[in-house]
Amino acid sequence: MRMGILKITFYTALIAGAVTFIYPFLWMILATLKPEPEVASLSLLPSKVTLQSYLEVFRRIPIGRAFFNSLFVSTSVTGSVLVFSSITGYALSRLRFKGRELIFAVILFTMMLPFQITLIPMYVLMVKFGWVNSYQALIVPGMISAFGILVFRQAFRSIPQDLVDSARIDGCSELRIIFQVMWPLSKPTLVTVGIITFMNTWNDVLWPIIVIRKQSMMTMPQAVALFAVGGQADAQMGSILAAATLLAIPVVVAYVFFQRHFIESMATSGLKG
Amino acid sequence: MRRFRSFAAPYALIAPYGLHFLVIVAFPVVFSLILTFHQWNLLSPMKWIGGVNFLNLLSDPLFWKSLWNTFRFLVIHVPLQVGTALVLAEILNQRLRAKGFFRAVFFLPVVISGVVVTILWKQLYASESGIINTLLLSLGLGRVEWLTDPLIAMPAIAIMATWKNVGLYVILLLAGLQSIPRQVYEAATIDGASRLDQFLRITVPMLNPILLTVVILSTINGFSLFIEPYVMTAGGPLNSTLSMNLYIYRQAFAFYKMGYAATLGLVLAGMIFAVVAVQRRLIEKEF
Amino acid sequence: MPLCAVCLVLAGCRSASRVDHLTYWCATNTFEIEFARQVVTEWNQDTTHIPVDFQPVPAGQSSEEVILAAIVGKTTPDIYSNIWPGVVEQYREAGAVIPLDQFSDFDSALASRLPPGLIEGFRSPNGQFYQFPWKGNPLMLYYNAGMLGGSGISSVPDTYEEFLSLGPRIAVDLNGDEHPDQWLLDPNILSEWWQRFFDFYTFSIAATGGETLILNNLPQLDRPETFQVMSFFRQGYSSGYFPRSIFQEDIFLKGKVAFHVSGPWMVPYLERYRTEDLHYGITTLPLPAESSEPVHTYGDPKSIVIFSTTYHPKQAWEFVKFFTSEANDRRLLEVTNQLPLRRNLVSDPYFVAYFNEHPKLRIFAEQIPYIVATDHTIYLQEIFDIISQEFDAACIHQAKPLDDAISDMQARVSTLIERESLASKAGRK
Repeated sequence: MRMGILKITFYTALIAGAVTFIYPFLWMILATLKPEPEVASLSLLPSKVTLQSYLEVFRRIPIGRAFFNSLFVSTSVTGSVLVFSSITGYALSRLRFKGRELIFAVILFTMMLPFQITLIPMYVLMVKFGWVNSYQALIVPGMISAFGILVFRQAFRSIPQDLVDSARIDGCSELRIIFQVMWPLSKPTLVTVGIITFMNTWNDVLWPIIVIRKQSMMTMPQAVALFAVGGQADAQMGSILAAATLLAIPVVVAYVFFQRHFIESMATSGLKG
Repeated sequence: MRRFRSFAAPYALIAPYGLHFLVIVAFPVVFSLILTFHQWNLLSPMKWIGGVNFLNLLSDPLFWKSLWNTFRFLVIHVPLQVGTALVLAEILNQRLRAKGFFRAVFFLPVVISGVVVTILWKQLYASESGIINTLLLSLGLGRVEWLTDPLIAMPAIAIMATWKNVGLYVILLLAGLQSIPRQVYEAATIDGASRLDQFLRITVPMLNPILLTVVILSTINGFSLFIEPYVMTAGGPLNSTLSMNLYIYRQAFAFYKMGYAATLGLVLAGMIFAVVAVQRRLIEKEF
Repeated sequence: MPLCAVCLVLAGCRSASRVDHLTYWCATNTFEIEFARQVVTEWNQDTTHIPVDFQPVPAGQSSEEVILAAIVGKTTPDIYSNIWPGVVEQYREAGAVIPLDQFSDFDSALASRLPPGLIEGFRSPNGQFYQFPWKGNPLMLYYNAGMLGGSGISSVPDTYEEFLSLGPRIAVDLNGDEHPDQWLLDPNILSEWWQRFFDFYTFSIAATGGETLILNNLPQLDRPETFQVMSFFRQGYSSGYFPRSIFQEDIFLKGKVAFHVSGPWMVPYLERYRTEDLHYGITTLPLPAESSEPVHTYGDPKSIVIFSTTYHPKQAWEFVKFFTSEANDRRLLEVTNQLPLRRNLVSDPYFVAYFNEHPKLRIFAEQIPYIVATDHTIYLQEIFDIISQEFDAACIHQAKPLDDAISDMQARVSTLIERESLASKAGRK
């Protein structure tokens, strides 16, 4: 009997929690389908469904372009991080050379370095390179991540040395060993680093707000944030919420399909960070 | 030839990282240190002003205010986040149905951009037509000026940040809970320990390493508070939500005080190091 | 290694070859882009002219930041038309803009176009002119005529006292929750520095008969008018006549506020979105006391500058004159509904037809001779930031006595100006 009450309490807590997490999103999505005068109302269902708010967003800001920018930037950064971080991780875990420990220490230090300290000089650097308003400014700083290197280093250490040795005897170059021996054996690690990098790049706003001022070059979160704060929405709340919904959709779709990978990857990153 | 290859190979492989490190990490750190001793608005040449930036910082009421605000945010956010996460994780660790579903739901806001969450909550918090106030009024409770009362705005942002991130910490703590052997609890039950006793005397101490991670993570995340006040309150009311990052952003990109902004960045970085170090000590000693 | 190559290639992409055309940047809104397109097309049709290329300023939020980045990166255009007079001084100090009075016909061009009272407001403290004043958008008081009439109010208020006395009739609770559901005036309570242009600064200009904030490098914030303006806002907030809320919707449009301060750009916006039952009018700002003088206001002026990166200063100046000709000024009105800074705009027969068709814009045009810009100081943003903080504390939240806020304001701005000039001196050693 005692157990029963306890279980009911647990379920009640879980359901209350679930409602707290889902309801606001549900309200937001339904609000974007309402005619503008109804948007602020508490009622969940629209009196009539209209896509007007979405049309307004598309009319006012190049959100499609922003989506492409975000996709292009996040994919480039993720690809680059996977390649370069695994190369570095391999060198650190499998090769012996002078200065290896020093480099490892430097990487650990980099991970602990708060970004605030490099923010201003990085902006100056971008200005000096002439990279303001360019993809380079969004991609190059993120091309290798210390986090990725550490995760790959860890993963590669657990792969038997015999495999590496036999590949070497077959005349494989180091790069082939990395991509044809190590990668196939470290798929979960690739997924983890890939998801984390992609998510972090996709969701970052502070850096794009600083280096991108040209509307056609803005990333999606940036474009939506500025649409909400700036005057371009003409204070039409429906279209602000519609822009936010458009920003959420790609990630939510990905999340629904790869939920387990998302959760496990983020958990790993949490523990490593 | 072979010898040369095996000697050079590691360095060739490390080179991209080395180059990236020099340009993107080492140079900015060094340049940042140099900047702190200069006055520079990007347009005119840099002017050496010695320690003036540091002196100005000590007497800058907004620096102290933003520091205090960040501290206020952390004091509310970290315990709230870790506490809620611990409770939810503990519940999810019971033998219940549909745990996967609940886990996925709690995690949902974690993957969604902070911009979406901020826009959404700005609406939820609206004092005239926001859902939360409408709900409070219909329950016969008073209206709360969530984002415009200087005492409440920062806690309101902290609550929102907790809502956004708690799922991640639930997952982290759940992994920790699952690694505690069942036998320990069974033995305790036989000894007559209550559930609460078990939670406090077994669960919490055995979770210590993960708790430490969670506290540090959520502290570091708290220090990077930016988009929430940027979108919701612009640092107001009465500067009560002006976070350190927002202040740095403003000094640099509204007032073009690059030297002063770099000084603020350096001090904040130092502070993050210090706070994290203290936390590490305290928590490790405590248990 | 590939990374290195990529960096080099990308960094090398910036060429600096000598060009035989002018580049002109306009503002980003649709109407101004259309205006620029028409003017540039017409200019380019004359083959004796140097060709002009134009594009909207690559800005998302603040064009000042973009221009700054362009100056640092030496990628400025030849001509930019939408500069805020207050920041020109920063660009001058950096040597980024050329003095325009070097051209022999500058004085006559300026004098024939600009209302005489406004000329000095655009002169740099060093005595020269680095900008050509182009257009202005005076801030005025919009009122909801239906709401005032419905509350039995027949005339618009002229003084602070009259204005605030309408409070009890306007700011009333309509749904019985003991909380007003409509308001008298809705200044934005956010503390970003530029928000103060729309309340504190505009009201100060009106109250002082057209004074800015700084005289001979000394702030003038401790004058009695500052007290009057701030106590007006403080009363409005403390009595609940002004909402202390952040709205996501436009409450003037929704008929929830009686008065709203804005520029002429609000007219087309209201015409587009208003419902049938929203009737509005436009009038001058209230003053501390009755006055028969014309009421001054902040004019949100925009100027044209020529950047020092240009290879063709003379031709650029010719383009500026063409750009601000009588014909193009009328085009500006027709295409953008914005007002050229031109003398006798309302009475000039050349423009009469336009104003007969757009009576609401005539009200703004009549205000043009009485607009005021901002001080020429490189610390303008910070000065307004200080004002904003004190305004926030004393007026919106009443967390600080007015006198303290005003003396702190004065002291902090003085310190700022002194400290910066000290730092500059230290730097020169």
